[in-house]
Amino acid sequence: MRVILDILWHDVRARMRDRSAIIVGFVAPVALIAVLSLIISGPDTEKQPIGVVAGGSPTLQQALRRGALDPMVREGVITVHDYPNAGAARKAVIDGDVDAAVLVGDDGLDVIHGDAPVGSAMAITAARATGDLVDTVGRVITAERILGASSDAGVAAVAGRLQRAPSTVALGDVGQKVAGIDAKTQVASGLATFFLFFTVQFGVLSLLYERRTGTLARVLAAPVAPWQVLAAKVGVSFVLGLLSMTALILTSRLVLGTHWGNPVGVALLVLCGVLAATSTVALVAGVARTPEAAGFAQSMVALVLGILGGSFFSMARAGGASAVFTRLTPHHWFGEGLVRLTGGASWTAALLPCLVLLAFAAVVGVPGAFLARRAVRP
Amino acid sequence: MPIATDVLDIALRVEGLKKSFGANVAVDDVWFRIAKGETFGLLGPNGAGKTTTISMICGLIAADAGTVDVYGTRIAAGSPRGRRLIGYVPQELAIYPDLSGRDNLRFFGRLYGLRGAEAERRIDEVLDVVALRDRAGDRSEEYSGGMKRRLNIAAGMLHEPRLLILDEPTVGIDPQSRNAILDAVAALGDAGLSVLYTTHYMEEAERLCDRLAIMDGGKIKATGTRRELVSMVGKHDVVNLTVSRAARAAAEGLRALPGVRSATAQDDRTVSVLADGAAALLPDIIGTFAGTPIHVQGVEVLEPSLDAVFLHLTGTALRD
Repeated sequence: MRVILDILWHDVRARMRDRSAIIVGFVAPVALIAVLSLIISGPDTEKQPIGVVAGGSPTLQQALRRGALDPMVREGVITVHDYPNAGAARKAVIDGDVDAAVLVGDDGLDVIHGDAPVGSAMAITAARATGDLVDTVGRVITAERILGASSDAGVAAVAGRLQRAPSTVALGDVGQKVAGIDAKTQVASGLATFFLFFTVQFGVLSLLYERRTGTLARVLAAPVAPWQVLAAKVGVSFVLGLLSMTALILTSRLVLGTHWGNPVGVALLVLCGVLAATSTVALVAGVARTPEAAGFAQSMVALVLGILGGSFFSMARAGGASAVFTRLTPHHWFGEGLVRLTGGASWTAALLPCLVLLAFAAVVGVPGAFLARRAVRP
Repeated sequence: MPIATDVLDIALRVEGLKKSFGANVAVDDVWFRIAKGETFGLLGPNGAGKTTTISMICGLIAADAGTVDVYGTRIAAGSPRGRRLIGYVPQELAIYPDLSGRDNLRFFGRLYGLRGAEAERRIDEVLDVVALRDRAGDRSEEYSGGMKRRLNIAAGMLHEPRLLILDEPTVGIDPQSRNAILDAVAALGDAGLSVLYTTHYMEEAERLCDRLAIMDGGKIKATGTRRELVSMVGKHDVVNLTVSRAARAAAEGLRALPGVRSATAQDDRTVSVLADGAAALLPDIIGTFAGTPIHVQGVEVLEPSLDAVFLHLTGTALRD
């Protein structure tokens, strides 16, 4: 065990010393998160136009307006536009007059929005619209639960309590769960998981570099079993991933004001997400023959998983095969876990995404570890 | 030095070692022993199978057949057993360029359980042996080629192994650094350390080794002291001829001369001749080319040496 820690500590220090892990795992994502956050919340950003369809339950209408929309209007976040019916609201959404519209029914709410656009600027707008709407609708649904289906009383009192409400809702238009996290957090989590898959390569892939330079042969000539070397290198990937994610979450929380949810739940998500990323790089190291090939393959894997997983824009909203593929990525389930943790939810809300991430790690990591053993040779 | 028979006096016992990579037989039934305190040379050209043999001795790769015992401990690939007895100096510069010399040694020392004051004491000792103590704090990427080689050796002997294995430790360095390394290895041998030294430099083998094995094509061709090996050639001399052209045809013609044991074209213009009494035979050798388009441009007569032995055993000269 001691020799594993010796190799692990040596490698982590080396990556810190040459700053490679710091740049990829911290500096680059923080810079991108900061820039994108500035774009999202910059002073020139226009208010979000949101439509509301008249009718439906008066209780819900009141709760929606007084409990959710009015405070956001007062904060200058949104503008509200009224529409007489769903058809008019839908046309307004399609024409781009509003980013989305809320349809008030007799016993619930639906959100109307257009198909997800592709492209960074539009994705940011969509992310913001989604986040705001989900906040809005989530609060209203809570209000509905509190008030009961038939009572009009106590709406004003309830409105004051809506700030702490959970905020997830089924969208009638696309039948998808939509994140209740704000746009900044969404950007931060997407980029953090995207860069995580680059950061972890500094551990396991160093096996291939050290094999080339001969230092691996020297290490293997010592009283060290090959599995101990592999365990140490996997450990390096895991530790670097963990450090990167922790630093990014704390920095974005403290500097940019992102909201990640229950700390225990987030910690579990991070652990499972890093494990999934480490498993992926182990598989790549086991398959690749040269360090260059491994680096290229891992970059491709990180890019494809990042795009499919919604690190830049939601593939789920594109529908069809994309919506299926996105569910095969760790990125999606990390984001899903964050969604479930928003609004004061308990850490247990992240259990299902954590289990999926662990399953991903097992499916990829077991053959990965088996194949990566081949890389542990002089 | 007599071949040891008592197990405690045998530092390394290699028996029937075989290794193939696909259809390529890299090591073919290799046997030899190294006595305690002996410096043993494995001499052969590049591709002879020396590094593969060493890799199996160190347990880095698994042998297809055969056994390796170091001071009676069986060495097996993938098992740490017996590794502490061996100090391995690979042919590559197996050091971390971004670490100082001292930090490199600290890391490799920890792999052998060396820590704290004991580690620092040993580091200072080996740095003295390889004359690097004054540069120990510098990053090793700032070292000259010779200094890196010396650090490479220091890392191999840090944990006080009982058998030091050096795989071509002087490749690609200047004569001054080579001399420094040879002096250091000689000092280790004089101090009683058992050493296995592979090289394709004849003069290194002659200078350092108590006994030698000549290896070519994955096989051990002969084993013995320098004197024993040279006596195999008898009174044969080596004559190296530089010819104007067609060395192969020249060699063909020379083989027919009485007294010529062998004649081999080393390249387009060099012929190596193994002959009985070369001085007396020289006029006949040169006269062979009279009336032919081949002109002799240079003649070099060598006394019996390992070069002659190698030529005698393999039919080719050992070249750098």
